Amino acid sequence: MKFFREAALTVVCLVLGIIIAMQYRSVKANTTLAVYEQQRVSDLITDLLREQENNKQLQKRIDELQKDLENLRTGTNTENETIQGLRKEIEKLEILAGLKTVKGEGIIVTLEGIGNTHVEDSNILAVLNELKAADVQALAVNDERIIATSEIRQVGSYMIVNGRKLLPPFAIKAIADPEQLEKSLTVMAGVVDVLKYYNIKVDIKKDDNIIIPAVRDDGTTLRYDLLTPVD
Amino acid sequence: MKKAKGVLFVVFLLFGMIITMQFRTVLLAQQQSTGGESQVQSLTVELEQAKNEGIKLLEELQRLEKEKDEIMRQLSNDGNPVINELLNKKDELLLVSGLTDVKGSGVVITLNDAPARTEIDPRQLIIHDMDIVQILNILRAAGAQAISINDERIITTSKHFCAGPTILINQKRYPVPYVIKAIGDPDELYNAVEQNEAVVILRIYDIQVDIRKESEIVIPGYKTYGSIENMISGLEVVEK
Repeated sequence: MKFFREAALTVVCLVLGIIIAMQYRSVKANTTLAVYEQQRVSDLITDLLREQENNKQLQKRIDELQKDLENLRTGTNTENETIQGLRKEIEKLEILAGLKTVKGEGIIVTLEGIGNTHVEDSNILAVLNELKAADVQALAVNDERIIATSEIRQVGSYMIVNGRKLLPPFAIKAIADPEQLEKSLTVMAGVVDVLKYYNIKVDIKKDDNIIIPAVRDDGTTLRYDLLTPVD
Repeated sequence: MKKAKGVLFVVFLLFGMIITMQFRTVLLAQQQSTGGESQVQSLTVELEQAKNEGIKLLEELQRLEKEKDEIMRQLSNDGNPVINELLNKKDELLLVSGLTDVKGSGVVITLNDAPARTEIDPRQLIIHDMDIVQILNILRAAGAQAISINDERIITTSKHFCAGPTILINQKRYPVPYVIKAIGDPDELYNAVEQNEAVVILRIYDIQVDIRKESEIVIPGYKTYGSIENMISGLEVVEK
């Protein structure tokens, strides 16, 4: 009698132990799955909202263009107005291409190695990438304008940017839309800790009047001779 | 004897409670996952629709822009050569700014995550944004004149950063593989990437870095959804 009772108790306890372990694992698995699913849903919502916003803006531009076309066809626009319109478009494109010296509100991030540490090209690249992620509109490293084809190459303690030699400290200037400026500042504050870990002194300064020079227009930086437009 | 009964009582009590809990979590999890699933599904469909609409709108916009340019050229041919000059200047600037589709010879690089392995931290088997930043930098230093990632043109302010297993480029989300196209001197681009230390390290971790030289690569222009003003709204021109 006593033996059976003890045996039964052992079995029950054993089963109980197994069930507790199973329970723990399934709850854990469920939580991971739920987190992953939540991430996907939030990604999808972000993407959807952005697409819808893009479409709205596209529709607005289409409406404007249709009005322009109407005016052109009916001859409402004088030739002078057409020329003025084109000149304005050209100026905007020149600003976008980096062919104009620009000023505006923004931040200056200065990097300098402590002691024997050199600032590496990857440090500057990381800062530039974070700034781009925060929607800045113009960038320069030590007054060398950063454009789509600008390289950052380290040679010892100095950097080569747009084929030109720059000496430390490296001042990265960024102009941002004032509304987005706070975002740039917070993003940069996050990067500071990582750079400090690599023994690099980082100084972040907000400035209302940053001037970023135009890209050098001597044919060495802006090169597009190998590109053929596709219709 | 009494003691044994007491223990037995407690054990069964626990047993009963746990079975109920298990039953309830399973039920809850089922509910959640079907709920989440259908939400994911409906959002995916909606997103697909919005994307398709966007493609149509973009085509319409490009068609209208072309039509406008043609009318203006016509006007110019009828007597005002200034308009033609300005239109040519505009086309050149669109090319310089990366807003035009272009073709030329160069390289195509395909990047893919390494297959999962248990003995290595999984974070070292996936491609990070800094890997891509480095590769773009190598291509630029080797004279690339136009670059795209998964057909998203890289312009001055293009952002690309990893968001989990996907990458955001120009605010669009793409999964692996990442296809980087670059127009420039194919040999120079190829050698620069192939011999770079960063690429060698990626390959040690079995991350796939496949580089191909190609004689004709087409790289699309950057897609501007809003007006160009939005991209330069914080910039004021300084006259020299």
